[in-house]
Amino acid sequence: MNATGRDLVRRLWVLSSLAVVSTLVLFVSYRGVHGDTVPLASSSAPGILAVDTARSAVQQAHTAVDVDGSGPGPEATGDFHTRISVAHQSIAVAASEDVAGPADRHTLKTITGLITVYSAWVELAGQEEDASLRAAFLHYAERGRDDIVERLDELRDRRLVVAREQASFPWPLWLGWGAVVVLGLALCGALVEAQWFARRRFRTAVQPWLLAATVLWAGWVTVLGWFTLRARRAMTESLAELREVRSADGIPEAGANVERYMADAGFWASLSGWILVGGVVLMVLTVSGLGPRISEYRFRVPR
Amino acid sequence: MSRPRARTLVAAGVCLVLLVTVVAVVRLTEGWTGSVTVLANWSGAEREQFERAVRPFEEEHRIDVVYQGSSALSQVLAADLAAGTQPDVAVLPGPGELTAYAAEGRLRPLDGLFEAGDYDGFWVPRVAGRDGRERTYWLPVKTGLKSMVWHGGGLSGDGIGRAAGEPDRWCVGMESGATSGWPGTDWVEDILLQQAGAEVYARWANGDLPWTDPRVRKAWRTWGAMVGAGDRSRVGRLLQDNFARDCPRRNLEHLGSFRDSHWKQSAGDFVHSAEVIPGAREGADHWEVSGDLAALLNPTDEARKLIRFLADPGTRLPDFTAHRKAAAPAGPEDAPRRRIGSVLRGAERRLCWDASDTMPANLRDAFHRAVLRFLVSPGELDSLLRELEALSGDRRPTLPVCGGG
Repeated sequence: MNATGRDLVRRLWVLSSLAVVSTLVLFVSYRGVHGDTVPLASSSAPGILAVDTARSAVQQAHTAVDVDGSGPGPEATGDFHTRISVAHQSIAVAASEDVAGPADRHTLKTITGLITVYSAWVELAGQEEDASLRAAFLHYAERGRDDIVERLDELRDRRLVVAREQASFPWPLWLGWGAVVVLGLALCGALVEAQWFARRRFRTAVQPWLLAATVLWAGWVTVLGWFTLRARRAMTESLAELREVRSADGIPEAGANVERYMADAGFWASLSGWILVGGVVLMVLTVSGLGPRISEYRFRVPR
Repeated sequence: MSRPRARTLVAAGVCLVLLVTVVAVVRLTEGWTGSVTVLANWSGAEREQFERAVRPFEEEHRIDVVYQGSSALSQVLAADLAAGTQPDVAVLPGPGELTAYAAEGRLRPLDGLFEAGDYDGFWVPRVAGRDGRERTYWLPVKTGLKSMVWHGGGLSGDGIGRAAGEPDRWCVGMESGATSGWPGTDWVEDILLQQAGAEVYARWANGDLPWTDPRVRKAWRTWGAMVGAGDRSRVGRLLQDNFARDCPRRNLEHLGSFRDSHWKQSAGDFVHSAEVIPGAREGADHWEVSGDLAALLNPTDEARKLIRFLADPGTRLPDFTAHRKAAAPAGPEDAPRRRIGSVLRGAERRLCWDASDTMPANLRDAFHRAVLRFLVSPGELDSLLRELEALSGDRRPTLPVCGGG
């Protein structure tokens, strides 16, 4: 094999190595961001909003029974029960297995029990004719409500910490995406250089396989980078929605906003598997571009 | 281009294996290997004490103890059991509900997990399971002495007696979340114990003596007179006061040993309640007690390990332990604590369970509400007792209420 043949083999090695490393780094970096988008959209956000709904429903229930501080009247009973039902349903959502871990479910079961006790005190107050006892029962109910709200707030804080971690972009991700940019540029540069080398040595206008590999990789990295930027923005905006404790009226709007921001999260995340496929295609294109030329030199006998 | 040498490949392989090993070891040492859920009614300082006590267990076994505490313990546990999502370990204040759960086959036996002989049989009785066989179903994690009257210290017996006759000198608060009213039931139970004796008390607690019995009625009336039941302005306040609110040094307080830290601040002391209860029997020396009893609901390996850990005399559990081999409270400044400890671990034959803690949950809750109503309307006592008697009619599993009984 003469010098041109050795140059071609060296270029194939360099391009293959860069393709493998770039693919792996891109895969890990992409998963690092998009691996958290789906849990944020399908678990953390609904969990936090369900806790907010339960909190708001409990407070509204108490407002319904204690408008003038004298306890629940008959007309308030229906509204009270509706609010308590909302609280129970929201807690069921917050405690569902795909939303809460064992510790949070344990907390939510306790809160369910506290809501039952709270309702019992309110109902006793409603049935009580003696003013002292009615005031006492309402006082116990109030203490129960405070306990419920306090526990829901603690739970919300814990879940917000998780959501913050999911939406964060820590230094390993900066490092990973920095490496993606550097390796991507290096790979594209190496492909262009191989194209230029082949053009000069073999007097061909263009190597179509190498050109396809260059366009594929540059486009692929650009598209995935763009999706990652969109995911980052969507997660930041979702987190801003979740950070604020909202009243009952604001919760559906916040939920709709988060859903809108994160609408493509599943699609973004599903692309991570295609990164490896893209890497294989890149390798095939590179080998297809340089392989035949190398074969020519392998069997050429020097004169 | 030259191929990499075999030596280089081996070095790279070794590096890779080392890296994987380091990552695996770090994950193993940092992560939990399992978890155990615990439900109890401790909050505040008691919760912190428990969490501090189990920290060595978490560190040694890498098992996460997921604790939830609530005054609505009974309601939460009943709902969990009905839904089949019970915690691994539940710590209940008293044996009443546990006896019923054991009879229903909801509890797992603890035989073999700890040495029951390390505790007096009063604390760890063998009770019947669903198949009728008697086994050990709970472990006392924390015990408490009742039948105590706290005072500011330095008072003579006469001085305490005079103060006890003035309703305004008693610190009474009924508010306690889901279990509001229990301080009142403690009063009534203790008065009956000191006036009528342990045998009558045990029969009443087990449902063999009617609520309408004159001795029970007398206990209620005695309490009403001591705390000023029917005085609406006073009662309105004490219904809403928390049971653990600050009590001035010049006043008296009928609460259990858990109040020692509060009274310690004012160098307080306690006397046996029989010394201040009007009509107490001559030589009345029985003490009402409570116990936080740990029971196993899901027999996971993690939960079993936790039970073993809680039964270890070296575990620094919240005060006071009934374990015979555990260190007793010491220190010259802790005379009340030493006395409490010596009663709990040396006078088991004179101990009686808090009666409401041995009753079925619905009767206990009705008892809580009845004392609240009695405070406001003592004239309704007879109808309240008839209502309680109607609830008490159902058959229920019973257990020895008093030591030696």
